[in-house]
Amino acid sequence: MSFVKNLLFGGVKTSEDPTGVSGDAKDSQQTENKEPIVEGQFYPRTLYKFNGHDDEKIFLAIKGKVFDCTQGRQFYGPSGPYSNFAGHDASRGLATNSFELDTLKHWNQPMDDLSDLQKADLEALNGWLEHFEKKYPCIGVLVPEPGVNV
Amino acid sequence: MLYLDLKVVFTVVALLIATAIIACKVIVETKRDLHPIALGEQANVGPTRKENETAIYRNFTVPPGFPLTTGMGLSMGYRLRNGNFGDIWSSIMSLSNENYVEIDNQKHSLGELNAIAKHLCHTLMPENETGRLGISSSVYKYPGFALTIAGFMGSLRGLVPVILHSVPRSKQNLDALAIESWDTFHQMNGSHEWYKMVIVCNSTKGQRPNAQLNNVVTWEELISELEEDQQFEYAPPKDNSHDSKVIFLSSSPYGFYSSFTHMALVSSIAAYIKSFPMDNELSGKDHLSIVVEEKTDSYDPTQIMPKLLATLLHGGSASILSPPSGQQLDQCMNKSTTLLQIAQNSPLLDSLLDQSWNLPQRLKLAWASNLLSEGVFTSSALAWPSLKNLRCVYLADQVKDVKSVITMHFTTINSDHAPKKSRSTETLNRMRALLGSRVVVELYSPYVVLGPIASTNFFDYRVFPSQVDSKLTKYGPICTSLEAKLVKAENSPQYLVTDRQGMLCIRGFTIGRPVEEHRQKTAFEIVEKFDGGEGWMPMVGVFCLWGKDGCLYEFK
Repeated sequence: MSFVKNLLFGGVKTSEDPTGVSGDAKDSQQTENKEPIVEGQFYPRTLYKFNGHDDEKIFLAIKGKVFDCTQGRQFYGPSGPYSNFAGHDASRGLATNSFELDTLKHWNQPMDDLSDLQKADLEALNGWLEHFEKKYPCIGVLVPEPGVNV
Repeated sequence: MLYLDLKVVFTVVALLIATAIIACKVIVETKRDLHPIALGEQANVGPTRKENETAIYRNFTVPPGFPLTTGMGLSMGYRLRNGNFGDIWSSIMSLSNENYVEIDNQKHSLGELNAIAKHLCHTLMPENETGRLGISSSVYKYPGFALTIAGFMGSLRGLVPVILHSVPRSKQNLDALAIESWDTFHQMNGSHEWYKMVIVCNSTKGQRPNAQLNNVVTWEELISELEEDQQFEYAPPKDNSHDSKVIFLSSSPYGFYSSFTHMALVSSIAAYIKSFPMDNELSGKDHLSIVVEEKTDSYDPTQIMPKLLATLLHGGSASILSPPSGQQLDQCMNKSTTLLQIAQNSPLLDSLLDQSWNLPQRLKLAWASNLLSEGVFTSSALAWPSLKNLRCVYLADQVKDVKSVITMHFTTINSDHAPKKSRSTETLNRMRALLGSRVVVELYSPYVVLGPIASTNFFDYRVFPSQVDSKLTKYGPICTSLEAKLVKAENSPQYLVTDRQGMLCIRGFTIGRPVEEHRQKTAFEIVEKFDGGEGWMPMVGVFCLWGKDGCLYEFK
């Protein structure tokens, strides 16, 4: 319609302002979800929401490093084979090759220090860590929250 | 009866209007070059960002995790290598046939250029010797251009061409020097003795001194009795060591030098070739015209090389034009021009845009501008039929504060500082309509980055609200050989990284390395605050904004 109006009365179509300087830019919920996450420290509590359900993004931790695995949604997302790991410290599960819930700590439990793992498990874990470092961006570190995990 | 007639007429008119609206809508929807969704997603944005920084932005064609455009991807056995000037020039020569380089309305075959470059290369640098050649004569003139090509050729064997902004006033580490004319020679006041050889490029300008000058030679003497040579054999070493060699040094008006490697040139050429969309690729039919005007010829001359070599590489031809004032664009251009590079603030473009047109042309212009703003390209309002072959115009624009980027020193934005002059998005569409060609605006950082940092998408004809045009200059996504982010600058707190604003930092393969140690140290110190360095180059004083469409916008 605007095309015909512009044709008859002169003028051109003005596109939506993508910069926000005119104050007309619409900040939809979808756009907000696309905003990049600030890299830094995560607590088990703050990591938990990035499980693919509560937040579209999928983060998981291995040996204290937090990785953004959103691109691997088919593995770590809801209904994926490793969905339990999303939003958690997945170190023990990956080291022992177990996808069971009991390998994971809840956000309000003390963090897993992995001290009881066997040498072979630790080697497997290091292999996984190397794989994740190559495949997914590391976006921060997982530390215990004072008063909650320590 | 009358009532019935009116009813029929009304129904017919209503039907016609409805049909026209539906037809227009369908036509506009199906004829768009690029869907609005694609125009709104022109970059790959990193999923995370660091404190006081925006995410890392890349061109949409280079996803995160994939390598940036680093070269030509030539095969070497089972491996790929990036290539260097030797590969480029040997391919150019193997394809050379009828194509040529035209400078000052004189056509020079590639065989002639090749013969001169090879001869100069051997004269300036005999076997197993190294040296530095200063080129202070204009690269936009034939001798300066041929010397630059010879310098690039010689850089594979140890020659270092230095593109000088002016004749050195103090003794530099140079073995040979090319100067403009005898007038320049007289102004040197005896400093010609510093060099093993001085080449006078235009011997008709000025008076030759009577004294015997053993180390001075004119351009004509140097290239006399040369015959065309179509052969240029190049065999790359197995260790790819040529790719990382310095191809030239570039001196800025502020007295600082940057060194560029073969990889920078090759990456810039590859990024340019990749910038063409499907079905619009570079081909042997292309003719690139580079317009150099008096007002704009102080621009970094090496910036013409990536586009020029890319065009020759596809079997096309190139012209470097220096039109006299008062001429119009169609009068000075080669009629076979398909690609045109011209400064954004060119007076030739001003005269085109300010021209008053007759009524039919004004109507055509309104129609074309309207269609363009909808995303549909049309050349129906072409101003001059002689430009019918033109398919893309590159508007070269520089960063607002060239000096701060080169000197790496910026204090604070002066409120008296005049805003940058750039053309509005509506004016760009008017230009597209009148020239009947696509218009790509490119952001350059002369003497620092070889080739553009960012450029508008070939198919992006959007018109933005006047508030956007008054505050920002729109470029486009970052070029494929670079990635970029914006960072918080201490002396400019008004730019908020949370609003995707800040000082530009770039990383990639087309960036020159500062030669002076103190500039290198300053660059490291600046970027150390962000990300611990990691190869980022700060564009000091360049304040930009990322649009939600992934495009780069510079504050005026």
